[in-house]
Amino acid sequence: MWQRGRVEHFEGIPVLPGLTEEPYDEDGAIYYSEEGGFDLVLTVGDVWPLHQIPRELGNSPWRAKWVQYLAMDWTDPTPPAAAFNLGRAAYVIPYTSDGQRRLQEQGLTNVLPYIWHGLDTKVWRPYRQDETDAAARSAGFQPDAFNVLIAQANQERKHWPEMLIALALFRERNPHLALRIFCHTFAHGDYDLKSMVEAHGLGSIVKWASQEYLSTGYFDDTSMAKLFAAADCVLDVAAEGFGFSIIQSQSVGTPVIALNACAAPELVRTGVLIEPRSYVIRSDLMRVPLPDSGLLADALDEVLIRQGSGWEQEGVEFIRENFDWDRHIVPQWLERLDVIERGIEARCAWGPLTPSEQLLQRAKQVRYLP
Amino acid sequence: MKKVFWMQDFDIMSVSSGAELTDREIFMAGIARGNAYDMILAVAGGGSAGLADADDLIVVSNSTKFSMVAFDHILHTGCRFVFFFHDFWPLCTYRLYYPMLERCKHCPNKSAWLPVWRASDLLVWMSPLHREAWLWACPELEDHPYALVPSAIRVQDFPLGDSERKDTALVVNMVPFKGSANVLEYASEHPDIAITVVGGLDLGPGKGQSNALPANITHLGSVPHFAMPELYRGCKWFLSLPGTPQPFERVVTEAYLSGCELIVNENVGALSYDWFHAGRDVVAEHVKGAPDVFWGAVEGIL
Repeated sequence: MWQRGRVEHFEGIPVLPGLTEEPYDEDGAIYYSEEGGFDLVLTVGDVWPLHQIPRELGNSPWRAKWVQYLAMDWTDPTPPAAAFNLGRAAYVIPYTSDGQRRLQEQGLTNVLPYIWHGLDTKVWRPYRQDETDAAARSAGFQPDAFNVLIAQANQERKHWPEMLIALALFRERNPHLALRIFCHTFAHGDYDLKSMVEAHGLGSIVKWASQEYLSTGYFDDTSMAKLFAAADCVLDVAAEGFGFSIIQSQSVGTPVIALNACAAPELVRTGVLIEPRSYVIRSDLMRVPLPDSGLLADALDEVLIRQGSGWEQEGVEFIRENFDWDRHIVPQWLERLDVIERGIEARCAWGPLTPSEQLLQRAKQVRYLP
Repeated sequence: MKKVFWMQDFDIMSVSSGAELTDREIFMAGIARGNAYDMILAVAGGGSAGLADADDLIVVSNSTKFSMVAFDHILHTGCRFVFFFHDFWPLCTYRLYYPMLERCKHCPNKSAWLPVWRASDLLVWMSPLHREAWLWACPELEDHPYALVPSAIRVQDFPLGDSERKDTALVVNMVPFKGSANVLEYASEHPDIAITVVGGLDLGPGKGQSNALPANITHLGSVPHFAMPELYRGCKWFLSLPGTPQPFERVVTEAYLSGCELIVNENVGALSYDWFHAGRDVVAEHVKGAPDVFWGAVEGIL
């Protein structure tokens, strides 16, 4: 196969280039697992686009074993095709306890305890105002304004229309409040966001991340953490398999507004959960909740009212005591990998074993029946 | 009329491997019982569609391709269900290559599936040996309601015939779990016996294939099931020396009914029945009557 690039290295770990045009490059993963003699293929995130890996590596002796670290950005029930594929994995590790519970209730027996994502809590922590002034200025935030950050991909699943409607409604309800919005996203993607922002009359109060830098640059953790800390509120109202911005915002003491479905309920301590308006069934039969703009506007009101109440401390402590990569997350991964290794060996996953001596002897006792 | 939902990996009306042939006879016998049963066949790929309609009985037979989600549905229907084991799945991932090692008693497959087996109303094994081998790893199932149902064989398809038989031993599927190593050893110890192999040929890891066969073994390749009776009648012996317990061994029985003398070992499940040693007529009676044994056991739980 042609490699579409060269092998890079990240902290000494080789990063192999993709082999095909396919976004999930299952062919590439399978090829590398065989050529490289790998024991394990760990897929991270979505299961719905995977077809070859479940079929070829699922429960197949003499080949790499497949483990799925799973984002469940849908509500019950898990569609049969996805559940069938997940059943073929050697193990499934959900992102969240909600995901773990749902998979086990649905009957899957290869589900290991969930592992949350993590943060470097030495970086993702509260900052003094003087430490975030520069970030605030770059985001167009003002000290006397209500500053909202949206760090979401410009994708249909992130519900930009609902967020913009809610912000417009919130602004209308609070005519004397200075509102500022920073969109850390591509203005053009699934949506023409700039046009939508203008259509809602928000153009003068919305600032955009550098589009060029989003394409070519790198936003380091510290600058992102300060950006989150400079905001008064973060919006993340998609159905999230995890939702990084949910823990990022709380870690720096900024409340988050999220959807009361999927991952968010177990991740939000400083924030408001809004009930879904309704649900949509996607083409892959996944049932996805939809946010309500009116409830989102109400949530913005609530965050505004609770400013200065000290409620952010609960979120800061929750994140610091549960989501640090080194202290909390890495040990869980080491434990799961150990379980996986022992479990794979216990299941004779590398092929049938030599029969017992008793059977071998019995096999040699030949009988004749006329 | 009782509604019977039969779950199978394959379409038993068109696939001619062992489990499907047995299921077909039993399924058709269910239909032939007239107004007793409304038979519904669910083939893998349809997921658990239709389970919601299952009222009276679900038969799980050779259902390796159904996910645990489907079995979770079964347990939630509250239906009576029968688990018909055709091999050692799901206890052993390798089905007919169950090694009966100490570790098998602690296999994750067992802990995952034991609740399902215990929740069944009837477990069906194909022979006393089959059941014994299962209980060796799963003694917890010893007191569970069960039935022993041999392969259901259309005995009229395997007449003795009067054609001349060659001094040849016939082997079907010379592959590791069927004891290919044992057959090789037998062949080398009996160079005067010509051995004909039909079906698969796999001499195991580290060995070549047909070019590694000794001079007295010939491989014919695949032969359709309907052509087997003629092959059986043309051979004097049928050779089967599996390395692991085989649930029944349909081909051994078919060959025996067709007049072959048997060269076998104690891993052939059929031999664990007392009646198998009582002559061909008695064997024919029992394998022909396998569907009646099945439905008799089912009627005991409905």
